[in-house]
Amino acid sequence: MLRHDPRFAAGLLLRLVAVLLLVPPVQAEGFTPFLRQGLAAPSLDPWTQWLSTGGDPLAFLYGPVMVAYHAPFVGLGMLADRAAGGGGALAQICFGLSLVLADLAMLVLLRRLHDGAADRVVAFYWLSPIVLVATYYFGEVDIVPTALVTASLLVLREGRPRAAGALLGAAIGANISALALLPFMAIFLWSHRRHRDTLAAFTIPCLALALALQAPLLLLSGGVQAMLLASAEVDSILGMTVPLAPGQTLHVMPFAYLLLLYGAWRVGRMSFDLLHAVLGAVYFVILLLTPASTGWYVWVLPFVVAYQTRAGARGVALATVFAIAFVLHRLLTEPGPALPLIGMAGPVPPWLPGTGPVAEHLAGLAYTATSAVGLVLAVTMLRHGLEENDFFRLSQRPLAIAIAGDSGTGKDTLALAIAGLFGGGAVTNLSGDDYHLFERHGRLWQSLTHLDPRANDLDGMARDAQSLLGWKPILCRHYDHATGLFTPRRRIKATDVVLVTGLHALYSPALRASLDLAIYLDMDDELRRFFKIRRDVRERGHPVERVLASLERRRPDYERFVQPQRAHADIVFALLPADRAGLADWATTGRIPLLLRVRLHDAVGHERVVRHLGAVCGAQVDVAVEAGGHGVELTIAGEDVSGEDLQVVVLKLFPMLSELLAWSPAWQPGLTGIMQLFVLMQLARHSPKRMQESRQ
Amino acid sequence: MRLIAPAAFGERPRAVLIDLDDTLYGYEGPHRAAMAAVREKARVSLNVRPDAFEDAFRSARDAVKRRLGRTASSHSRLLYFQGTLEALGLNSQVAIALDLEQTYWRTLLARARLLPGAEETLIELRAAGLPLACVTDLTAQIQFRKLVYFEIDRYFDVVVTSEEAGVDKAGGVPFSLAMSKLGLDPRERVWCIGDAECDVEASKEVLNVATLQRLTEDGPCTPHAGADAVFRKFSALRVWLRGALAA
Repeated sequence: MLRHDPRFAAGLLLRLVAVLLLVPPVQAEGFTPFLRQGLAAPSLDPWTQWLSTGGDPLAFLYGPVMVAYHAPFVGLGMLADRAAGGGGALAQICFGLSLVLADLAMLVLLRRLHDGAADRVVAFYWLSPIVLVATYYFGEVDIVPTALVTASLLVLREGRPRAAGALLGAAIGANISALALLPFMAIFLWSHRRHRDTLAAFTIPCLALALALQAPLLLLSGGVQAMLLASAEVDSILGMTVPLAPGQTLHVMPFAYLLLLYGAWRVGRMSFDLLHAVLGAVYFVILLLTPASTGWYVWVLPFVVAYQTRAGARGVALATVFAIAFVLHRLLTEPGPALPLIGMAGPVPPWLPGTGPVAEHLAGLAYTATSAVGLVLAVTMLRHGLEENDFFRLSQRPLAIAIAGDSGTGKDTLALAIAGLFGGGAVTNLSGDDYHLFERHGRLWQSLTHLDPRANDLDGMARDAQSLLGWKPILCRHYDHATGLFTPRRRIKATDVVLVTGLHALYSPALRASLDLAIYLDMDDELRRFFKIRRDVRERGHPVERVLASLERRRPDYERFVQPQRAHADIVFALLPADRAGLADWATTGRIPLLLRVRLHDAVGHERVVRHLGAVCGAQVDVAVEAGGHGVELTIAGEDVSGEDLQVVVLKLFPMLSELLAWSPAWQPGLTGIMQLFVLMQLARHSPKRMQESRQ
Repeated sequence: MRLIAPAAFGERPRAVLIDLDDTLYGYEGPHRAAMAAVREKARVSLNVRPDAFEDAFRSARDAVKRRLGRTASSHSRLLYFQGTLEALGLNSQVAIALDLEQTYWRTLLARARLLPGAEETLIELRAAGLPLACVTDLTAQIQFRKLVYFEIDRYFDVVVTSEEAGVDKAGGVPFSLAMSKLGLDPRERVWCIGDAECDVEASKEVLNVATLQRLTEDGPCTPHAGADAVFRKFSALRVWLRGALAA
């Protein structure tokens, strides 16, 4: 809790003392008089009104959101001033308090954004010399739009794209510079399948609000146009150039910005952490390649804080050196605030006196140091973000999961359950049925069963799977179970997860070698026989003898071609009856209580899942480790396990998976849900291998 | 970390008794989120307004506590929700009561986090060769679930719940039971770490104990009567422990 944190109390005290004592010229001569005049004679266009009375065109270069935010504070101050008998000191203090409030909001937002490191955020942000010096010593107000940007990121992470877009729109309405972030946030949303559907929901409110707030003023207000021209913002953006030839001038800042934009696009799939690093890099580009004002340094702060929360001691040290370099440079070269309460009516002079060559060299050296450390920090942030990005390396290769097993073992149910975890659009399903060689009435079925590899184009299936795993689309026909015919070929695109299901999904060695997870679905023999008879006899009216004969006819091929795939599986799921006596009567209509048997190829690593299945989900798990530790078999009673409990377990044990899964994964209750849990457990355990492969 | 009675820690303890709720993890925030989830569920599934649900819940909880006194069952969310549904005129609605209880604990667990440094402190105490006992109110079922969920069950030699002891810690019995399970005489010196009055007051009535009170974010800033030391952060406690146990 903040209120018990002495660092917080110290930071707050420092801020309040600064607001009482320090009167930065930029506020005393610009912001406060501008707002006081606007409040004394309200106008829809205070900028034009300000200029018409001879005001300084550089007094208030911010949008209407800033006026709306600060005006109530200054208004209260003006009332207090009037009650106190005149002067403007209280209006000035109230303006300062508005910054303290925005600063406090920023701290709260950053702590929520980095909730795992909320404690450290107090040190990284609240005690950061950058925010203290830029906001309270030099009086810059960029903390307000920066807080809006931070709020937008927080709300976006919480899955509220409309609100996030509106907040970024408001940030643009406060300071048009926030517009620089919009293309990167749009790329982030587009690049990540998990967020892609929210792109329009984010950008439309953002642009609508930004246009509604800024466009009328930019187009119609002579005052705003004149102030923008006077500010020379455009000149500073285009200021650093490389003249290549007459008429061919390279503007360095826009060039670097566009390169960053292209780089972000090329990354492919951006995680939320990488988005932070990229947005930080955008502001570093602006800082380092333009003669940026002091306030600009506040803009990078949320991204530097994000980096510090993830980086080790070296990263923290680098950010600290940057902050110290910035403060030194600014104190050496910029005039500070006045301190009227202690009798200093004029501004504190810069630490470097005069304008001689020594002073100039020293100032240049300080700036060079700030820029160099800033560049190193930006590059380090980006590198760190890229290294941690795309935890499962999906940009390089989709996740490949195969589910093999005999008919009626639940391959489609499990495939649907897995697809539900990743989200419908994130999964490409390659079905073994589509690779049968013959239509249902093909004559060769009289001599071959579907279980016989010769009746299936397994080579074609493996080739298509490999193409999808190389992010190449395929053309594939589809076996229509309703008609028994194949549809014409259609184009199938690869997505984040390629799911191969079928009787022979683990048959091809080449395909097996490419898999991230091999699953074999089994079923207790008696149980399978029971279900088959109950369905075919009771529901379809087939004679029992015929059903049994059909089972027997398939058996040799099953044992020869399908069952051996079990040995290649990382996980074998098998359903078995909880009470065999219940299988005696196939005519029963009652529910058959089931158990799930899970055989894991690797005997280590399941323990935490087993403990949480019992403790959180209330399932009962028996564990039997195979001799020599070659595998482990778990027998689980858990038909009443809820999907919500399984989700709690996954969030606790495998938090890294949230980047991979849908916004709202469809968790199944009962044994299917437990299968979902083990599938994710295996993927989480497999991820280091994928990362290693992608580095080679 | 503030020592109120430094002399209380002069003797090396034979064991350390530790409370769970609001000592090793912050309870208030997760509890609020869990109640919000329950109210939302009641709103969606039963069409009960959140404020009406809250009123009924409060009166049901008070009635259960009055009726059952200082027992583990008096903290049972299942009984609270059963009473809430009855107060709302919906009869017992067993399935819904169970569902609300599940929703409550699931949400609470999903939001609860061990306090920074709490697990490291347990490791530190174990490394110092001290037997640890978790002494906690509430029913065994949910407290055991929490211990496994937080993956700290491995650090405790014994666990005592008020369900097992028959009465809450305020009566002192769970502390005595913990000592008995640890094979210690009640006169032997132990330390007790907790947040509540009972952890520092009731434990003193039945044991030869030095008490370390954790000051919670939402609780009083002043120590309970009988606290020999107070701390807010486990990091501070650990630093002190290292010195105190090495001495």
